[in-house]
Amino acid sequence: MEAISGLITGFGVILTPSNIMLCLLGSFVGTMIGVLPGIGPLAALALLLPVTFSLPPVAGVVMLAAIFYGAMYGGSTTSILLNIPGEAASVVTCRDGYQMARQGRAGAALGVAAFGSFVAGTLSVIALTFFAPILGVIALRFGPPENVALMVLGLVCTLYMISGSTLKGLTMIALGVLLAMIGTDVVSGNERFTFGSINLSAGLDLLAIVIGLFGVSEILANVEKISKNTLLAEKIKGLFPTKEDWKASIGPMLRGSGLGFLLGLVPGGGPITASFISYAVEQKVAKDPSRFGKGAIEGVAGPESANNAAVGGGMIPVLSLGIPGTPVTALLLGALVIQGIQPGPLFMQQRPDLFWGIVASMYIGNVFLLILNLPLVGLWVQLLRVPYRVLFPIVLMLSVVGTYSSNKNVFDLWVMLAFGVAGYVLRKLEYDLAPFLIAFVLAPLLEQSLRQSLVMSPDGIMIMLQRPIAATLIVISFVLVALMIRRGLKPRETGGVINEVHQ
Amino acid sequence: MIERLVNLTWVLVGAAAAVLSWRIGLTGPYGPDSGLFPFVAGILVCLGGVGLLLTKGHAVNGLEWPDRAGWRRIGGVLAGLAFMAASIPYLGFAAAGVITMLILLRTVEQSSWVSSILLAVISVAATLGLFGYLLDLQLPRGPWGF
Amino acid sequence: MKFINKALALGAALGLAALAGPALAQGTNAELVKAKPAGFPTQPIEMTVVYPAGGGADLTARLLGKTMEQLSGSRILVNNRTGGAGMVGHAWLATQAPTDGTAIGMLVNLVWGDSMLRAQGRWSHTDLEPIGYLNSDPMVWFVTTDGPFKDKTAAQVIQAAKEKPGTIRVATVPGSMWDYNIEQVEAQTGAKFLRVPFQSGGAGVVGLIGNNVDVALGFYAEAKPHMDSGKVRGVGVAAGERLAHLKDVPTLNEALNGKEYLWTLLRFVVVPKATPADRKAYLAAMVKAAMQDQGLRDEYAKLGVYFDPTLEKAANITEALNKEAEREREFYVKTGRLK
Repeated sequence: MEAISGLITGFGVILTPSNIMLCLLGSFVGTMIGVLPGIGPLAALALLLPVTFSLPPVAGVVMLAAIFYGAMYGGSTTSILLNIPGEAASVVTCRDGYQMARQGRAGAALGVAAFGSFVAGTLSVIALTFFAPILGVIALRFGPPENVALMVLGLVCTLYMISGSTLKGLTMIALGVLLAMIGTDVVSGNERFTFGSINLSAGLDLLAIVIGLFGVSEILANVEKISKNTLLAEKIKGLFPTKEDWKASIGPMLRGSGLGFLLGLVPGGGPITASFISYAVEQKVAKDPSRFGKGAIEGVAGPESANNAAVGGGMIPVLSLGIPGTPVTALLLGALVIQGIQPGPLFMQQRPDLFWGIVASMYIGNVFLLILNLPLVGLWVQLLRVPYRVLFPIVLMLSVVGTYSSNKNVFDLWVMLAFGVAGYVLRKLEYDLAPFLIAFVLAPLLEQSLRQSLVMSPDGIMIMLQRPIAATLIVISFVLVALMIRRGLKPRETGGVINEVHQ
Repeated sequence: MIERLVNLTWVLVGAAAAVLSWRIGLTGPYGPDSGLFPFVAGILVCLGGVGLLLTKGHAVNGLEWPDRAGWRRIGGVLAGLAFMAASIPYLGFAAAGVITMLILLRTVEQSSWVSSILLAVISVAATLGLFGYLLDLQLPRGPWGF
Repeated sequence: MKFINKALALGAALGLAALAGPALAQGTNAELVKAKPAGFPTQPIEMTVVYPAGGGADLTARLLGKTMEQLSGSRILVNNRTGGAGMVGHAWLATQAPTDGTAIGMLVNLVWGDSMLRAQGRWSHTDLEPIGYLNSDPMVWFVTTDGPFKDKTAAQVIQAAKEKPGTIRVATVPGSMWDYNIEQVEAQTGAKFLRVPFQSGGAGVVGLIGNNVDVALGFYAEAKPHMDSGKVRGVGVAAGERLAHLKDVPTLNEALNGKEYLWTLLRFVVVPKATPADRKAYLAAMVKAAMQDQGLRDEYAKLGVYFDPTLEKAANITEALNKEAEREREFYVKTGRLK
């Protein structure tokens, strides 16, 4: 097998004492930075990127992979412990992860998240090892019509996960679409709803919205009735997942990995979409969907695996075609280019040592992530013992730094604040905010792809049905909507974050 | 009351957005123009608001707003953040951060001055040290050079 | 990165590694160190880039910063101010950046379009003074090697768009150089393309390979991996002369017998105009020394850029770049974008 011998070459290149040390250092520092609230993998990678510049290519790549996996995992830690997502892809993790923490099972949630990340990361690297050249082609098959179909499917899945009032959920989806339209229209170059402000000309910043809507509003809800007690009154029950937890999570992990990997391959997918769809799927296949939103471990295992696998899948178009699909993979591509490595169709043949070196370093990065993070779970759980009055100002300060660091624009802090207030009021009124976010993320791509498709198509909207992949996805979406209507648009009794927080 | 106000906001925001998008133009030579998506979204937000206003079933039962002490704390957090955003360009991150922390600690928890100042200075210094020094993140500097 | 450097130093001390980085420049440049004006701030120099980390502009700036730092011994940090699609960073540099020599910007000529079309008089590109030219990236027209234009020339592609107006699909980026280039070609030749909008040249090239468009405009680096693999080829370059790395691709001017098809991304360094003259001169000397460094030139060449000899040799870089900006303004006025 060519792949096996390639991989052996790769490990030969990678496995030196200094590289292993760098890997350890990278995954440690990556985790530490990624764990800070408001600082997800993208910010952590951007901050730590310059470190790798001074290293020789192979060492730089090894360290980069380690930082990357560390930061990916670290992003979910604050979701679970504090109900504050480190980034958009961890928003879903809050739902059940934080509920588990409130029940004293933070350790189990963190453990499952770490293990799920490991499983997903490893499976996607294995797929990358054997199928990279074949799968790379899929990315190319996804033109504008396929993207439209995928975005529609994503929105339909969101309908399934609305908790509480359906009408409120739908209003939130519409609002998400509306606010995503602020800024320059990519298709025409016209500005929309910017009112002459240069700060609005590229739209509202996703990170500022996530931190405001989910982080600041969470803090507001907590300080409202702050007590001298620690955040969680309940006892911490065990640091690690139990046997039942493993049994319950293995299915979601595998499904999440597969789903995330496929979504990661295509340009419109990516970790955010993957985590939301995975959650909707787990809820759909669960025997008792009512447990979701109340601390169901499947709701952590699935999305956490999915978002990691999505990034793994996203590495395939990067390495085999030089095409990044998400900001994180774009950053990784940039880092490789700075190291003098130009991924592309010929990369594997021209520089097998580097190609396989990168693949091998991803295996190692994943293993180190697990080795390092499982023992840290105990440490993170102790964080819950810190009094909230000490914790919250620090969390706010870090949120400010995190929001500011992505664009270096103070305006983003105002956006964060405004969404914090809005989020607080809407939580009180039992609005589910997750659909707003996914609509905000999907809408611009949906609009752009739809308009591109119509420009390209001689037969108007029929182009959606003339292309097999697009047609399949559209049919699936219609079936899902039909099923939902038959169920009478009744929301599932999922509870959701909002109900629980104020019980 | 607040619930009705929020619903009314949806109606107004949705309607305003729909009007503005109508002016941008809904359709062009190839179908949708820049205005179509925001127009549809605006109409839906507006309809959502109308629906929520007219139906009773969606209102929250037993909605609890914070007591006076609660509002003071929330006000403290918002004032702190607003002060931070407003003053960063003039005072720099360090000074704005310390003052914000003091606002937060004094209004929210009413900690003693000594412990507030101590915690504020230490946490801001730690943040600056981590991001500004170790990670080379350029946080805004005040007129005094830090 | 100090803690990591410390950890690396520790590793080296333990005999673990020969971890010296790929050296661009070796040691400081004595003349440059001497040229530092008295009283120059001790704070690091902040190089603003208005595009996100990891992109082409960011790579250019980081490589430059690294070399300048090594040659001058002054600390240089790259700062990505990415708000408002570049507008926020441009406006900041022009109106708010410190003028004590600690703020410089690595800009591309898109700043002119921002200044003329979008700034609404709040700032102007003349508030910024260019102190050094780095490199250029001309717009290239690409087709696939197995598509309808596999063996066609630029003139034949445009002829096809003239014969069957509105059917040849071309990838463009609305409201930018891409659009302007196509518009110019259409106006001069009477051709009519079907413009499919993409958010970047790179995305357009992907659309081209996926057979969603017939022609894509983009920069060499964006298509290089696909050109190397034989999937894509260039048919025309919107530059004054053929490029060293695309010797067999004619310029659009040659192919269409014109002289106005010049659409190039220019990268240069600016300081706020109010920066004291001696500090400006020092910063300019730093950029110049960096650009004479062969290591940096090689790194840039690897990114697929082009060093424009006219701009490299220009005695007064401000004037040379202003002339380019004027040419761009004329186009905006001619097409009614600017009054």
